Amino acid sequence: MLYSKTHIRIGYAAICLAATFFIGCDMIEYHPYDVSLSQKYSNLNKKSIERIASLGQSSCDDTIRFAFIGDTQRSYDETRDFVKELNKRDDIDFVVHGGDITDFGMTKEYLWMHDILKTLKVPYVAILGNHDILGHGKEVYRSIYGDYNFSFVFKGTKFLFLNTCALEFDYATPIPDYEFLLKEQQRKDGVYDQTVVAMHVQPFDVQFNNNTASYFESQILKFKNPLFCIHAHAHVLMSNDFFSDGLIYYGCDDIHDRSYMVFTVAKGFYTYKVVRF
Amino acid sequence: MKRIVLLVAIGVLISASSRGQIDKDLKQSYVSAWSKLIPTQLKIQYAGDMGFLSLGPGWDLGKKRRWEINTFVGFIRETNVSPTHITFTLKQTYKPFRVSLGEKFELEPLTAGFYINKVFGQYFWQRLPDRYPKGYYFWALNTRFNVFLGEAITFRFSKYLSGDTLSLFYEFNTNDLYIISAINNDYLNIMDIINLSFGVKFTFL
Repeated sequence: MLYSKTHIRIGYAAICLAATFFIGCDMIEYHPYDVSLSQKYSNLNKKSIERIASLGQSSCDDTIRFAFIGDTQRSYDETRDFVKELNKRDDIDFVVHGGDITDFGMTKEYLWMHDILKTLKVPYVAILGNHDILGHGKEVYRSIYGDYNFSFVFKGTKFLFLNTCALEFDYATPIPDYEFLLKEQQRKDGVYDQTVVAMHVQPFDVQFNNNTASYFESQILKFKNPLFCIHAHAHVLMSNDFFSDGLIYYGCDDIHDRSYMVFTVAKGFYTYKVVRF
Repeated sequence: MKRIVLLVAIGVLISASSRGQIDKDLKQSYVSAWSKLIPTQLKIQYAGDMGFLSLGPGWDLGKKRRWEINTFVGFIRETNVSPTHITFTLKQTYKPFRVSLGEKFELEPLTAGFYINKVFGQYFWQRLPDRYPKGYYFWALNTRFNVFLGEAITFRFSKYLSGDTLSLFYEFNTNDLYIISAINNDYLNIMDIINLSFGVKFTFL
């Protein structure tokens, strides 16, 4: 006999060891759009919101300061540099990612990006962007971050986060979700005096459900004292009074151009700054 | 009159028999042309961005059988939020070296190639759907181009199934979109974009 039983046993043990090593290294992948690989993280937005809420209890100052970024997509190095820059500051309460976390909607891109953003000292919430939906991206978003529409109240300000990527859903799913907005308007918990609305796609973009744009605005105005809206998607800094009613929509630049916005919100007013790094 | 009839009969017989020979040759060449399409091997592959498991016939090509073409049908398992997806893969392998390890074993220390994988399902389109403006996304969602490097060990059946072989192989692969992501990013290193797959090949012709 050419190979003894011991040989075979040693060989078998070596294969098992190698297999466990590689599987442990996340090297086994069934498909770039396979949802099952996303189980590493879950409910990230909810966990961040809980952390933000605990911040509010310990502070007696009413001022909120948050950073706003968007369209991180394939800019891993720039996002890492942003995290380094932001971690040097201690005046930021939380970070809002305006969507397009990924470029292709692939599961691994979500994991790569969160592995960078989780090193932020402060919590961050992320909105669903049109690129994040592609393939099974939206299912991955849901399993990692949670619902497409969500909200929280922090120091008397209500923050609304809305999925506005209508084109991706082929208009088959109602987007923006007016049912969600109605429920939020009727909510009795979480006392607030003013509202900030965040979305990925701004009104009148080809991706937005423009048939309902003015209705969208009317629903936003039903919330208590809407201060301003923020969006990503445009890849350039912009501010627009889309509906000529005084409600300003601020668009941030993509992270590739190495800039982020900082909004300071106090009772009844706000200021903003663009920070380059 | 009798002679003429006989001559004609002989003529018909001769021409019929020679035509039969031509037909036979033609048919033979037709059969042998098609017989080249008979698969020479069967492969099963686990993972490798082509599905959970993929299975399909393949062909050994070239005088020294250094080239292989494989086709696979695979599937991605359903999750609680996504259905089962069927995949199709067309794969080209090149094996430049062959090292004999005694009577029974043979090592192919390097296998290299590429494969095109297609995934079928509602959200996986080939052409940008009409609702989008032209050029809104630049890549086909259902098609991935993979490259790979690997290794294989082959076991020859000596007693039973003589001439047949069974090979075990593994491959490291990456795809076009992972490569695009890693370019211009120091953050992503080669290990981030490389995946591992295993497989078995049964060669029977």
